[in-house]
Amino acid sequence: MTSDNNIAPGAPSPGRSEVLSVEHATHQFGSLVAVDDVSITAGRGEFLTLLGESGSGKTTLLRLIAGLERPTKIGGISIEGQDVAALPASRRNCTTVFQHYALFPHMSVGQNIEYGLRVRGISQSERRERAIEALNLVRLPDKYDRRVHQLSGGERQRISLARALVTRPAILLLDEPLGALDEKLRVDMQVELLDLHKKLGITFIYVTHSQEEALTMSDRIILMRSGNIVQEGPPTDLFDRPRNRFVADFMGVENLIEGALEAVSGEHASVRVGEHMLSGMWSGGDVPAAGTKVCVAVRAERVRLSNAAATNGQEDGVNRLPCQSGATIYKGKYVDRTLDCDIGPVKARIWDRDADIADLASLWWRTDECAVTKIEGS
Amino acid sequence: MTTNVYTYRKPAGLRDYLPRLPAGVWSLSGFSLLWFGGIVLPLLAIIVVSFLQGRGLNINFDPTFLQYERFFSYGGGEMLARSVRIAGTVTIVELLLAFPFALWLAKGCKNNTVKLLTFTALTVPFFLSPAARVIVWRSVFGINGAVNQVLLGTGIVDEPVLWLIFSEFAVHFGFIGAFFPTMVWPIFLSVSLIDNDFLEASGDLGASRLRTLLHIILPLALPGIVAGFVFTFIPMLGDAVVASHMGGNNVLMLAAQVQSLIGVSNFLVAAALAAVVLAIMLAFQVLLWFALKPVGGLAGVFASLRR
Amino acid sequence: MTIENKTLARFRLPFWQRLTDWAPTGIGIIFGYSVLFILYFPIVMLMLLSFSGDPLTGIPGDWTITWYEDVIFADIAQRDGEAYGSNFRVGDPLLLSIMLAFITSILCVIAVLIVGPVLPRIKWRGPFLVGFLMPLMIPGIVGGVGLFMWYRLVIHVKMGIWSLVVAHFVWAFPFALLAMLVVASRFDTRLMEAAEDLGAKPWQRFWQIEMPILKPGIYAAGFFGFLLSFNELPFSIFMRAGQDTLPLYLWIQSGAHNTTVPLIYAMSTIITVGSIGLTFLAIKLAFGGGQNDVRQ
Repeated sequence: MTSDNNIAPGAPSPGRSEVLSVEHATHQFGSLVAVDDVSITAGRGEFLTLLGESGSGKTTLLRLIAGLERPTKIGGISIEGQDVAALPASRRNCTTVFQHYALFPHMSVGQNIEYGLRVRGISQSERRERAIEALNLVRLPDKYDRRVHQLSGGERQRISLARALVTRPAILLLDEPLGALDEKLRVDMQVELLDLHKKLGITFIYVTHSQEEALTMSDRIILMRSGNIVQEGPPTDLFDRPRNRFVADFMGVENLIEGALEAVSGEHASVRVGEHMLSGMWSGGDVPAAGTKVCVAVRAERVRLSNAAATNGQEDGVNRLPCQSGATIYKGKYVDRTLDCDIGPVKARIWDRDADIADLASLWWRTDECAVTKIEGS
Repeated sequence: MTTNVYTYRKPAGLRDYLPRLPAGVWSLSGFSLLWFGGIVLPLLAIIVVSFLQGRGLNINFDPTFLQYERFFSYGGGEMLARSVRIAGTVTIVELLLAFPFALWLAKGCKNNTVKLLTFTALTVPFFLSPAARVIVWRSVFGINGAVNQVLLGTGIVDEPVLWLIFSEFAVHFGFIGAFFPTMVWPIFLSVSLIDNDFLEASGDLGASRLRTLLHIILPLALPGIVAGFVFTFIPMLGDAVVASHMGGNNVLMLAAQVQSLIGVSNFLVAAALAAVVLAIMLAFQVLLWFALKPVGGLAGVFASLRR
Repeated sequence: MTIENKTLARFRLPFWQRLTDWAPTGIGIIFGYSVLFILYFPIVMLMLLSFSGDPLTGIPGDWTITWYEDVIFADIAQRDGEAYGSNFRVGDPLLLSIMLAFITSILCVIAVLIVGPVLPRIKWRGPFLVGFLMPLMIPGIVGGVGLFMWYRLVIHVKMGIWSLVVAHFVWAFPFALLAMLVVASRFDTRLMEAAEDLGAKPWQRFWQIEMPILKPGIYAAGFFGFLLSFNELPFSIFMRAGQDTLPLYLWIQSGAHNTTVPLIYAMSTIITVGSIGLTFLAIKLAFGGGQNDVRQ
């Protein structure tokens, strides 16, 4: 497909040379520190996600990269090796897909897409050619002459993508682009964005508050909280090896059991919770002193039920707790059961009807399927 | 696909024969009838009156161009041209002064106290006596006024400067201050309705500030600019106070001419003059109509306030 | 992770870029406040000169309240049937203007209550709006002469207080309506439906739901009506019959003799201070105060 080559020369290189680096960026709104001394890098062709709650500073960081916000303090920002710290947004080789699309209401779809080319003084005929190319890319080939208000939400989303891509930026910045779409459309667009990313090989920096979106799409996730990076790494890292309790909670771990750290040997950590000794994979980074409060994080779908009574002794590779049946919530595809243990309620998710046990006596999970992590800090 | 429509029929009564409208619509209709019958129609009727003949308070219903001929033979054309020229010049100057200010006020000014004080300063003049605002210039610019005393006292001039008052300069000057808020407000409103996202997107796509101004801000603020033009030009054209206080008998404008015509009971010529002004006004209404069309008309402007 | 603050320079743009950042802002500020200065300078001067010994020189100084005494005593003297040095009599015009302003104010409130809440909800509001706002687009002098011609020449009615009331209402109503529409356009009609659903009768819905929310618009309409009527001039020139309103009287007097100019300054100062006070009161009542806030 020649048209694709036109838009993105060069496929993503496995070596991943650095295309963006932000060093020690700080941004304040009045006394509020939105971004607090953050440094990040992004490789060529990488799909990098900035994940966090609202107010975590992820959007501000994106705007600092775009040049829409001028940092309060900065060590340096470079895009493709060029220092852009002093350049306004208009002279940085990156474009933004805005959350509410920001399509110019007084222009047609074609004029919107061509805008970036028009301000660069590119001729009418080439503009049109490239705009139609971009429209094909987002699968809306016949909307060139439409007015913006005639488009649906999903179409606007694609047009704003096309508008941002047509100038062939080194980095595409996406600010919660799927936030305003309904559930089904959002899932479709996720797939489409991934396709586009693969096809074009442009670096995507994607801001979202949805851990599910981040996990599906990213090569790497940066999780932020009140202006700081809490954890960064590939999706599996954040999902299975949360650095602290906040990350585990944000990534949707249902059971967070607090206890005192007993010992860490190799990758395994053992934790005393009440009368029980639980063990799991240590994922909190540098090891604190024994006795420090830590957190055992186990996902509900990892918790299994058993009608065998819990023995007092430790079983190899398994954490087992005695329990009684509690509330059950029917969720269609699966059933959520709350089980009452002496250390508090534990949630179990049962996907397989056959695995559900009525006269249960204990629950268990494998030690290598649970993480032991710090309460605070990174 | 066919659907069954379930119809509910109320017992018949008088109300069923009236269109089903909320009570408010009936009182609105009554008021509208009074307003359009008592105000709008009479104002438009002046165009008809201007084509009639008569003397004093008696009118013959006999169509003629006589009043227009008399009006122009009295030098009315010259006066009208002068009025339009002065009002037009000042309006354009106001536009050039007000646009950067309104832009700053809507998008640049971040200090809420400054904003509030400025809004108040732009609102208060609407409620002040128009004469009170200009009457004092006579004492400042007059032959024995403050400026001339200072100029003579410091020896910059040997004789009092006369063109400071009762001149076209003075009229222009008097208009500038008096009609500034009517230009600033509409432009301010239309600029503040422009979503900041559009300005950021424009810059993000590579447009310089100048291009953002030309391609994004100006087209989107056009309704406000046109509204400001109309709301400034029209009242200025008919202003009775500034022209008489600042221009005296040297710069006769529309209002003075109408008054002197009425003063000598030359009602129908005055009607002709008023009709010409009404025609200009109607042309502006059409202009405004077209300028507001892209945003859904005047009603659309209010709809957008709802967000 | 933290590094020493001194190694992190505060972010500064190069000089030329800071200049282009500030230039448009600077132009806006300088233009705007210069014109506001030209607008307010004569008002401040008016107040200073009204307390000055020789106002006609245009230089404030030699402070006195003699002009204010003249304004007040000339009128009292006339009322007592005594002769007084100046023949400047503001009493009757003042009373007439205040009365007109009150009537106009009440009419404006009634009219915007009829029009304001309904207009944003009907389909063909465009032509209505154009018709109601038409006086804004006609020079006052033409509007005045137009109404005069119709009522005096075509249907032969005598001018009187009624015609002044009509004239002032025509002038003030569009402004009052605009203020009300800003409030009414934001009115969420679902509130009325909710009230109806909860069993409120039409008059209860009006008094308990609609009125409190529209209150800022009603206040604004009332004050607009009062202030705009009180200072109205161009319509009044033609729509009066014998009596002068205050602005008309001052305008005629200012054209007459230099001796009355200081008295006009004094009277104008009183009016201006009163108008500014009322304007602030209106802004405070209509748009200030947390409990009147209608934001969602």
